[in-house]
Amino acid sequence: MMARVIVERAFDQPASFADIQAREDQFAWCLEQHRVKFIRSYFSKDRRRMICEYEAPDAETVREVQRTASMPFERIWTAEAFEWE
Amino acid sequence: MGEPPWVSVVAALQVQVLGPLAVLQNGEAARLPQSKKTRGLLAYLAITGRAHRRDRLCSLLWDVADDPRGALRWSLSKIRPLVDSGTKRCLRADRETVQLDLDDGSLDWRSVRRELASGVALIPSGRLLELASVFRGELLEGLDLLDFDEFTAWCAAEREHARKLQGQILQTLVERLEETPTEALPHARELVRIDPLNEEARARLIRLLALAGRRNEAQAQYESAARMLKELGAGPGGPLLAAWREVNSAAAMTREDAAPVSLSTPAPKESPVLKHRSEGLLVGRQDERARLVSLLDDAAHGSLKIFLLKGESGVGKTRLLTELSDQARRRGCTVFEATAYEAEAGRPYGPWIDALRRLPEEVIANADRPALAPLLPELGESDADSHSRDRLFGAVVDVIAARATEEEPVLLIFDDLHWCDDATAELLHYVARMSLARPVLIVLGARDGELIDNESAMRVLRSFRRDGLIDEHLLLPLTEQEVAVLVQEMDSAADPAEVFALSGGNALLARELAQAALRKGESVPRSLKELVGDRLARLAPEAGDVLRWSAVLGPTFDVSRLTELVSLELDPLMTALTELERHALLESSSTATGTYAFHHALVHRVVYSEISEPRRKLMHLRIARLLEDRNDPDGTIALELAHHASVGGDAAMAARACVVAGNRCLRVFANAEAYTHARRGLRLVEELPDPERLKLRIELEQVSLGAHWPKDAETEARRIEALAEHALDAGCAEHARLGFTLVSYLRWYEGAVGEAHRASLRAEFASRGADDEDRVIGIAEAGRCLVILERDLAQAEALLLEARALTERSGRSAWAVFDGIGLLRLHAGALEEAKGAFEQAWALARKDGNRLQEFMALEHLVTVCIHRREEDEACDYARELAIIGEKLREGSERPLGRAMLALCRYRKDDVDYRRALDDALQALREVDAKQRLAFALTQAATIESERGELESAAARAREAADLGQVLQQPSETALARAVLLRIARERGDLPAMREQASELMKLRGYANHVRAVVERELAASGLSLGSDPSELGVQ
Repeated sequence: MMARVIVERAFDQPASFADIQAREDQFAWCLEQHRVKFIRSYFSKDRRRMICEYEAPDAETVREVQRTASMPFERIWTAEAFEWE
Repeated sequence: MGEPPWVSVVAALQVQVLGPLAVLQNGEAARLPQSKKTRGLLAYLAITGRAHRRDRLCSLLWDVADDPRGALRWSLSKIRPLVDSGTKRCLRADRETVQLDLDDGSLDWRSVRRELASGVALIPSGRLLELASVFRGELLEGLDLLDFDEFTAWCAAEREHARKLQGQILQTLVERLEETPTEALPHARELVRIDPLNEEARARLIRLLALAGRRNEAQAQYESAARMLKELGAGPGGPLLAAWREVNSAAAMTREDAAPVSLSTPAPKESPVLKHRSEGLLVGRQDERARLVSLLDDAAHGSLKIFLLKGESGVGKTRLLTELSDQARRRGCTVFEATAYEAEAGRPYGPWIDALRRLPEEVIANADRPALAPLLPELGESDADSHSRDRLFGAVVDVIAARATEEEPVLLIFDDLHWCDDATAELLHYVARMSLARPVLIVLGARDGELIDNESAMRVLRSFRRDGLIDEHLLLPLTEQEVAVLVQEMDSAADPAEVFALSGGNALLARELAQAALRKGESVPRSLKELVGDRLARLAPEAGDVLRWSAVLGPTFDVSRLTELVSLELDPLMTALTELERHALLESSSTATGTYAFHHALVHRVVYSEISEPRRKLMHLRIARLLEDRNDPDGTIALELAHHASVGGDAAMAARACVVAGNRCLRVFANAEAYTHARRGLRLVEELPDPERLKLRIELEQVSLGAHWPKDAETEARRIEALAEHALDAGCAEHARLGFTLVSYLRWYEGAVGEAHRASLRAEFASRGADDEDRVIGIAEAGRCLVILERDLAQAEALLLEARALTERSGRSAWAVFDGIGLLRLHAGALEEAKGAFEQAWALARKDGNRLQEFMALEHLVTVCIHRREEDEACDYARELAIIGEKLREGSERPLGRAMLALCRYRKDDVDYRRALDDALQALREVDAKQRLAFALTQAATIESERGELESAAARAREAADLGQVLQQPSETALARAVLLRIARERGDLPAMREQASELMKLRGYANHVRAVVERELAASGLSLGSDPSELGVQ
């Protein structure tokens, strides 16, 4: 019963995906402990917007992890996915 | 002159330096500091007895580079508990000077000096005996600090003085006790031991030994002294040689109850009469005795019998031969009895001469005296005709033949054949050949391993064997039972099992052990040292070298180790080992290839102890270094390495090896051994400087905890926490972290310290590349993270302790430390402490202006107050919480703040807040904050269940329980289920009660304050943790 959680990020300056990834790697242990599993990220072409998708017990867990890792975010919410058959 | 009243007041503090250093407090030996320098300092202060300047003591015992003043302070801190008591301060130290005042205590060396101040002659014998017993060994035995010249010189002078006074005491005692040799002997031996070059003392000992019937030992003493003097470029001089000649001459005389001697010539002017021929006691050997007697009977039938009794030195051959001799004499047989001596190997016909001289006058009366004159000049001159070997040999045969009758056969006993000279061997062979058809029994005694070195003797034996004339018997050591009988017969207080173990059943060794009064601290009686030492002196130099290395390796050793240590090629090494086996000093193992062992544990001990201490240390150190260079992934040689490094004086290497050995033992579940290694290592590390000492101590504590869970875990935790803090101060971050981990496991795990092995250092990941402040925060967040998840709380504690220690040192507080510790204490049920920590976290967050942290701290304060049922305070905090929550735009803070405030007011019976609560709960669902939702739901369910609103309460509690399960948070789940149990009980729903109770019993790892709730609900339902829920309601 894991939730799909979306993290929205916005950057004043264009960000580097490698930097974001490195920071998250540094707190990989924290994600692991909270059972937060990274699924994918969507990065805008101007590198100012990013959406990250995780699988986690709930949105608050992802919030906790993002705060611990000092990762910037705008919103974090639990999503329900709809796909075409 | 009256005798002074001798003591009997025993001082509360006794310092003993005449032997190994010892301190006794009220008669009980105190544990001395491990550090040699500290012990040296204690001894120096005690013996000198006056005040010394600090810088003087520093230069005496420490190098400039070692912070001598600090080291001196440290040493004094170790000495003080030994010598000071509650009321009396003996160690007086100020900024300038240090003094040890023993006026109210006692120092053995001081007492001896005072008593001997006016000379030894005036002291009564009884007191002299007491004074002699005060000497337990050399002054400050074993306390050598060879790197410090001044201390070494001072110590040498004191030792010399002590030796001199001891010598005076012993010499006086020996003189006064001369009439009773057995009483004088121990003192005479001791005198020789402390002054081995004193010829007079040695001569006196030889005479006393002879008087006591210990001729073999007397001979050994003479030979030992002669050897020593020869090495010094001198030969045995007047007193020694004179004593030896006296003893030899006396040996030619018969026993007191036998016929008077008439052939002694020329009689020495001073000849002590030999009173005893044997020690009297013969244990076991029934078969051998019977066999020898039957041989005598067989010889009486008219044909020669030859019997060879073989065995190692001291096994009991001579005693048996003596017994046979006595029996034969009682039968009226003529006995020719002689012994070959190593010292007289160059004396032709020596044993024959002695044997003939011992015969009664009438035996020689009818012999061919001129023919015998070359052997026995006292019989007169030999003429040209009679002066031939053939006539000599013939004359001897005639003497024997004249006495050999069937009723009374002749018995020829030759002992120690392995030392006989050529001439003796030839004459023996001739006599045997000429006596084939006569009632003659020849019994020979020899050391089996040494026979092969005597070609003359071997030639004779080969001939006897070829002609089928000889029977041979190997005399084996005594059995354990026989040794026990020996000990009992001697009325000895020695432990028979220990005597057997040490002697290996060797009769002489066993007898000496049983007889000797073992001094305190001495593991081998001095007489035995001489006996064994004599055997060793016969070895080739290479064999001696191999034997010494073997002794250092241990009572059992692998021969491959030897090949690396001795400077011999393989062939010479094998030759040396063969020689040692032949001499029954070593034996190869029949079960373990390439393994050798000492034939007797006692021999091992003697060989080892005869190596000087400095040399022993170097040898052990060499072995340790060889072992250290080896690859040892499994730690199999760590045990051996620890031993050699420890004895070799390399405390660091030994302590490291103790860590490896201890961990190896833990891996194979040998906990007792692991614990022993850990404790040993902890004693060793005290000698080391920081930071190595701190690091090794922590590693050893880890082994110790893995092997043995302490009774008082909290006290141990505090102690190790202090150690971890010191490690942090010393810059050993990793070991400090390990220390904190150990502390955490002491607090959180009941004996599962093995977990510490697998615990990863999460903080390291969190702080990689970070600066110091971020690193501390990283560590603290890691700990806090684990507490929130209720996972690996021991690791959480370790991380938070480390973070706290780091922040205290840096002077900069971290919010995560306070909040994390608060959560940890909350989980442990220490609500007061938790509240204190959260308040600190809140204060810091306010100071830093961090609203989110302020919110979290307040959230936890509300939680604590709810659990403590402090409703007003909870409301106050909840109000603050709600205000801040409104300001935090993203996340679950706003709905949680509202929910908490609503809950607090709901609890205070303000029903209007139920709607607000429901709205807040819904908002929490929508932002998907399960843990906060679960908490709020459970609290609401609790309130409603208390008010009888069971339907609503059950729904909320069920939802909370499900959420707790999803989150895998045992505390939330347990609280919710406890409420459901209560609801089921209120409803009288037994199946539901059983279901909830059963679910509760399965849960683990929830917080202690939750446990209190669970236990309360179970108790109210007639159950307890561990009972069977299915029995609920069963009458």
